[in-house]
Amino acid sequence: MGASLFSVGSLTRSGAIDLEALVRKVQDGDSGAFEEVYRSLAGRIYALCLRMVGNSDEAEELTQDVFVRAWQRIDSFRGDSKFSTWLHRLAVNLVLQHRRSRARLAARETLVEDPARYEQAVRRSLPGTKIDIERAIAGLPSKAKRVLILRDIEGYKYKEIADLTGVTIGTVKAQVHRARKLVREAMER
Amino acid sequence: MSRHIDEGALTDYLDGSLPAAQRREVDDHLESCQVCRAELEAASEAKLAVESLPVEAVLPRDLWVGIRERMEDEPVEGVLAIERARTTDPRRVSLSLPQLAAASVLLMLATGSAVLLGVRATASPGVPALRSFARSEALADFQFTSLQPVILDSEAAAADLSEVLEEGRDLLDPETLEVVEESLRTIESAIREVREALAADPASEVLHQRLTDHMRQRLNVLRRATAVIYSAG
Repeated sequence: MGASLFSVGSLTRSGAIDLEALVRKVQDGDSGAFEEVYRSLAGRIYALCLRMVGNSDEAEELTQDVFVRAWQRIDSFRGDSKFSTWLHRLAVNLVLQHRRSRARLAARETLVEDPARYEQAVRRSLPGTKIDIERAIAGLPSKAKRVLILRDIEGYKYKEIADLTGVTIGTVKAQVHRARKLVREAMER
Repeated sequence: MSRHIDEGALTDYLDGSLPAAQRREVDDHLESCQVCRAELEAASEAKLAVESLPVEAVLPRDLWVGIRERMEDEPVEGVLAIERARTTDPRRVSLSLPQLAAASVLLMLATGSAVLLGVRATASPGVPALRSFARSEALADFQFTSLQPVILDSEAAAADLSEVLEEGRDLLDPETLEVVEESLRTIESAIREVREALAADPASEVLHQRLTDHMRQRLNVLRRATAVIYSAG
């Protein structure tokens, strides 16, 4: 790894990677440190993208987009939140933008093109996950799916989801409830 | 309460965020309403199931190579506003952050070596040489955390890089130059303020830290700007 020269300074006492220290190095122009940032957070970002778009190729593309965009905007990260939170928010925004543009083109409710292929990708990338639940989520209408993923998997607050998706908090709560009901129905089938 | 509990209230109830008074109302309603109990139970089971899913995936392949290539191709948005540099003038260049970083590191290493050897650093034809030194990125973080000698080093390095910037300013896109100079003015002003504060409170660790932070910021701006100049020279 290109950043090995600097990696000692990016470890906490427990041996865990100190992301904030790495990000400061990136802001100082150390692209090697950015590779470490990528390796620390790519799995989390890919999981989000995979579930949100329901397509492994697009999820890979989006994951790349997220990190390239983060690199481009790294100077705008001021440390007001954790870097992982900042990056995740950036990823959600990109995914939602992607879905909107794609939805306009495709004009369809769900973006899962090939459920069997998607399921294969999920088994490979999320070993140990519950496939029936993943399948149920993948089959949700797009709006229900996005709020459910953001709320119940990614742990966003209703207000945050409302801000990200441009709807009211009440609407988000109603969508989450309907999404949960649909997942429950799908689990029974 | 209306005939059935609305979806938003059920969601809040399930999340435990419903105010106590409303919660009691819902409890009362649930005792007598099979429909709402079933709704709540279904939502609760789904919630638990979805929350138990893993949040981290194994990537099917390493995406780093593709990301790195794009990092080199796509401009960075930042203090230098490099993305705004005009490409029509071949002497005025637009570099991505990795390119700038690489150039900076090379520049710093070259000039750092010059100090160790006590010789004058060489530069490309048409580009001003550095007289004293600047430090490698690898050392910068460690050395800028404390101590007066480091501040003096930083001053010397900044003075050298400022000279390079002054002599090579025509090689920068005007908008980029404007952003660089505005950034430097802001940082210089901050440095002056901290120095004044330090004169009154010379033992303040916070102020010393601020001073080194501002100096590091100044060096970073200068490094990136001079790296562009060197690459164009």
